[in-house]
Amino acid sequence: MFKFRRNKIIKVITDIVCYVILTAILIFCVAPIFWIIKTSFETPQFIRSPQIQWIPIKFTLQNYISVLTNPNAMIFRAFLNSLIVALSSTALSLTMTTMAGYALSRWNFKGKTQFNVYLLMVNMVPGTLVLISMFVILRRLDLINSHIGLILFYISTGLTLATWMLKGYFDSIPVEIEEQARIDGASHFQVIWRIILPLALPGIFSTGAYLFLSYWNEYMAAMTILQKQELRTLPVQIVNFMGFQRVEWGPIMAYSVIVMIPSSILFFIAQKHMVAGLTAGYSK
Amino acid sequence: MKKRHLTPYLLILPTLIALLVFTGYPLISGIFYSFTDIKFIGGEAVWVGLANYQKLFSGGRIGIGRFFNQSFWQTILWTVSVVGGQFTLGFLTALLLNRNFRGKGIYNILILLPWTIPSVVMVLTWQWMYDPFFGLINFYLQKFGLIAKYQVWVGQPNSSIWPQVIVGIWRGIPFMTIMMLSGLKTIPKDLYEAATVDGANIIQQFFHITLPLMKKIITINLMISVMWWWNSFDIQRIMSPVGSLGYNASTLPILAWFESFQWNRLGSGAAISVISLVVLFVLLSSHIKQQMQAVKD
Repeated sequence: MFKFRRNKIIKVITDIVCYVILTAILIFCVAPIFWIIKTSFETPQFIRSPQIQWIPIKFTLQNYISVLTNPNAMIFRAFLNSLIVALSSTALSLTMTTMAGYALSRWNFKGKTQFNVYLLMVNMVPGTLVLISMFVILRRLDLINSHIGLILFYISTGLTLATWMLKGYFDSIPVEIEEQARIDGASHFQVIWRIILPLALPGIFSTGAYLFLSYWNEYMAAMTILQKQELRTLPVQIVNFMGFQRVEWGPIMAYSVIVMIPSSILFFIAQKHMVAGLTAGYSK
Repeated sequence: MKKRHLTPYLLILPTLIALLVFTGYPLISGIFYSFTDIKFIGGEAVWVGLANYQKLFSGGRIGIGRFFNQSFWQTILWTVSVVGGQFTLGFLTALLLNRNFRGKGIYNILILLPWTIPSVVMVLTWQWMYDPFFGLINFYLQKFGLIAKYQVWVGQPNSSIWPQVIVGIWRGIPFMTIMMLSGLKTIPKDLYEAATVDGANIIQQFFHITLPLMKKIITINLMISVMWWWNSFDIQRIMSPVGSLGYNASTLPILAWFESFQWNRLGSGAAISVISLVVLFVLLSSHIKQQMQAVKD
């Protein structure tokens, strides 16, 4: 009886300690985001207030209206540009990495280790160096100031984790299913198209979400490659907009909230599968 | 059967080509540029041998020698503290989230939020929070008596790197958490049950079950994170003062970018990148070797 109560007390204390630590980390993670949202609904003259308050002093939609109507913000154009670039890049690199992930999962081929190490090592190459030669290549192809140029660059980034994630998802599908279907007379292509891909779909989707997120948020390459205003993606346009409105935090934060909405929604849908399979590809 | 053997190579080919074009080629041309006096992209490139490297290693109190030396140590400080902080907090969060408790779902989602935000928005927000007059960081630090009066934290030539490190840690916690959590899920639950029956406490379980089984995931994770944060650009670039020379908190990627694109010394910028890459490679090469052997086994 005494032992039982002591265990229970220990459990309660551990729970409390865990809640406290987690809540502290949670506040650290979420406070800046909450601050963005709060500022975006604050009346401009109250934004620069010496008193910090976590709910707007005077609630307003003015910032959103000014972002959506200000011609300098170009938010619809930038939104469309971002969508075009991020979606096409995701489609292309997802196709590539699905193929590579499937190969890594199903075959033991010569050079497999080297390919894996190469996949890891490409992350070492400094972005500035990549940027310089990419600029040279794209200029020779006349693709500077073109979405195609940016897409071509994007499909070379983010491949490492995407390939390993997909390998992990394919690993979780038993080879026996494939073999059985082959015995039943399905062609190799049919097996992949009708059986493997549908089974791997949650994994492919969350890998796609991961890729989309990184393209949607990318700044450095987009800033360098796209110099014409009407081609700019959201992250570049937001910095540019800030240049016009150096002191106006309200509209900038409203702009930020609008940029965050699609990526957050996508992330929340994909998050569950992501946790399940992110490291599966290299844990074995 | 012979025909099947070709398939994996065909399947990895597109990925391989993309990687070769956008990382292999940049590497080779970058190394070439670093031996020339090329000024801007498309400019004339005259071979100057080791001149760029000599200037970087010349030391001195002013000019690029000093900036290089300073940025080099800042890069190491930056990478170690950012990745260290992310890993400690991310792993801790993952361990806590791996338990069963009420409200777990909410915590799970909210802690991952910083990942979904474009780096640009994130840096702007932190800049706003660091604001010297109306920022909430100054407000709370003063309220809790940690500083006497409001301070300028970022954006000055003599600003320290620590405010940026905090942003880096904040940015990286979600990714670390999700990676570690994903790794923890691969550990069979009955291992812990058996250990509990044998009388092992939580700390013993952590060191004898969790850590050994997570070793590989931790290693790869730390390696990738070191590579990413060594080369990280956005946070430092947006928080740095405009066009400033010899910026105190600048790291090698920032210095390389300024040299290459702002001050039109592409050759010298390339040399900085090459050195940065070589140092990173030397630091990580023993781990990569281990990794290769581990894959072979």
